[in-house]
Amino acid sequence: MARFSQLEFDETYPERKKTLSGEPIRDAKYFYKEAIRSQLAGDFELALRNYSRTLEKNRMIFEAWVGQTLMLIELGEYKEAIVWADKALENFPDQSELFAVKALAYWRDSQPEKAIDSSDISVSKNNVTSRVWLIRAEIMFNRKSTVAESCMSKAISLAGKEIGIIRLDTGRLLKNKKNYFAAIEHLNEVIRIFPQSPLAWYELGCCQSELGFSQAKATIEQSLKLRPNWKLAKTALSKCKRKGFFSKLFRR
Amino acid sequence: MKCERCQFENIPGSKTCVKCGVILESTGEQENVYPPRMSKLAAPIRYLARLIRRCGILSAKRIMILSVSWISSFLDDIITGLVFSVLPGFAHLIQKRFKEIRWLFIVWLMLIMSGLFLYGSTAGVICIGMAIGAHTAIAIQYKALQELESIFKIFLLIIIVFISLLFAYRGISGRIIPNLTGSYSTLEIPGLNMAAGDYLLGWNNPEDKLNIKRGDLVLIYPNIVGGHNMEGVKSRTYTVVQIVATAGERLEIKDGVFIINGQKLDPNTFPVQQWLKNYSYSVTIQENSYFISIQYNVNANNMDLNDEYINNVCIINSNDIESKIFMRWMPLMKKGLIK
Repeated sequence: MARFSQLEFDETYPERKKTLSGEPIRDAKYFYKEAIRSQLAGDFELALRNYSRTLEKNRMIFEAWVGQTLMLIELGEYKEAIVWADKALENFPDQSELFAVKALAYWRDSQPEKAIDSSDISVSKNNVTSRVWLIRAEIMFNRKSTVAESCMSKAISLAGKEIGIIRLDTGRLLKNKKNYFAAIEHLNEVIRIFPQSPLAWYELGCCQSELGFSQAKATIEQSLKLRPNWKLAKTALSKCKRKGFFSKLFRR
Repeated sequence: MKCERCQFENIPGSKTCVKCGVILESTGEQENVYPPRMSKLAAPIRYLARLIRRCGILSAKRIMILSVSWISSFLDDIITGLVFSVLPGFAHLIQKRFKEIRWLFIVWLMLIMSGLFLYGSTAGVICIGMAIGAHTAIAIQYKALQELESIFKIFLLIIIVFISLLFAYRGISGRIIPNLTGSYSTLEIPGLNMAAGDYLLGWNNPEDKLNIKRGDLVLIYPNIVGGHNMEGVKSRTYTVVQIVATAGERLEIKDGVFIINGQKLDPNTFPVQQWLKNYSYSVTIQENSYFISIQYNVNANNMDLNDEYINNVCIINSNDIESKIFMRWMPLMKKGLIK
């Protein structure tokens, strides 16, 4: 299953319009699409559930295993992510991406030695994907920023159809590293690809807010429009509104 | 042999797909596709462990890194389980792993119930000790057994957990029913079929203290009189005593029998203890005071028996009464309420 090949993301999250042909067939493909949709909306809990449902229908969809592990990492459940990556590796022992996500879980769990080991294994495999390079970039960021930049470039060049989500994650990585200008560049590109992704709008809004841009408020409002009652966006919006003239000025 | 993932037709008997590398052998069982989840309660402890690890990474000293990482991994993996296992099986329950320890839990439950039933006897002590052992096994099984590689560390942890639980049980038992107290009897009262060594239960109720009558058994911290200290100091252990005379009554001890206001008491129900039997004594009990029958070792204090000595040991204030005995718990055959 090629990721994002038939992704339709044109409704307000989480509502879905009923099609004329009735209810869609709830097969693996359907749940996978739903999982991606939830992921792009920043609803990682639901995304995890939908990835699990995908595997319930067809456990050989490797991307769903990676998706589950990534969602566990997003939810801060690193130990569980490592356990789950190991389980996935039992079925797909040669997949570089699984080693990469395991490395990411180790990295976020502040176990750098193990993270580097896993990342080394992932890049030594034959089928190195863009995700592998992106994770490598995150691990290398604090140590060798030039290596990290080249890893990010490789990730983007290898992304193919996954360019949207890879750019989104690149933007999020850069945002976390406080490189807001570069992050905005990537996130603008993501919004061009996924104009209905609340997560992309939210991340962009946060970057703009950090830099003191006046459009930050409108950007976060857009994310809230796409995913109403999203707590994270609401908090970011109120934080953005609280910022005074001087804080905006000095941030700029 | 067709690959489920890429539909490639592999040679029969192949273990992995030639094209995509997927394992072809199917176990035939329904594979669990739902990942394990972290309990919300574990999140702050994990965060702390991560923070410690991060400090270790930033530290320049290698030795610091080693110690910090050890502490953080201990915190991360083991402490959470141990803390939640204060209630046996709770850590397993929230992780949906209760099945792993269900037999141990049943053993613990049976031991604790037997221990309570036989409380006060040697068998009861053994049962409770074994229940604490089972509890320790449940707590250790959660994570520590898998995480700790060295037998010495496991052994050390078992001892620490066992001792901690021992204190926890002692503390918890007092908290659950704070009014309930118990003590072994040192009195022998043929009329009540009571022998020395019977385990008696008392209930600390302020209202009961106001209705103390002759013949009641109560728990007190007795005065230990000895040396130059005739006033005595309070013992730290409960002692079972019998109320013989109440306020306003005239008590005499003559020929090894209690006489109250000129009337002899039944020596079977109110036996004079051995240390008082050969002594003649009389006293009028003051307001809010009682005369008690108590087993006492006079020789241990190298003192001659006199009235002041007896007054200090046997006359107590109503505030000295800790609780009133209501039940004999041990031995089993004599278990029942004391009327």
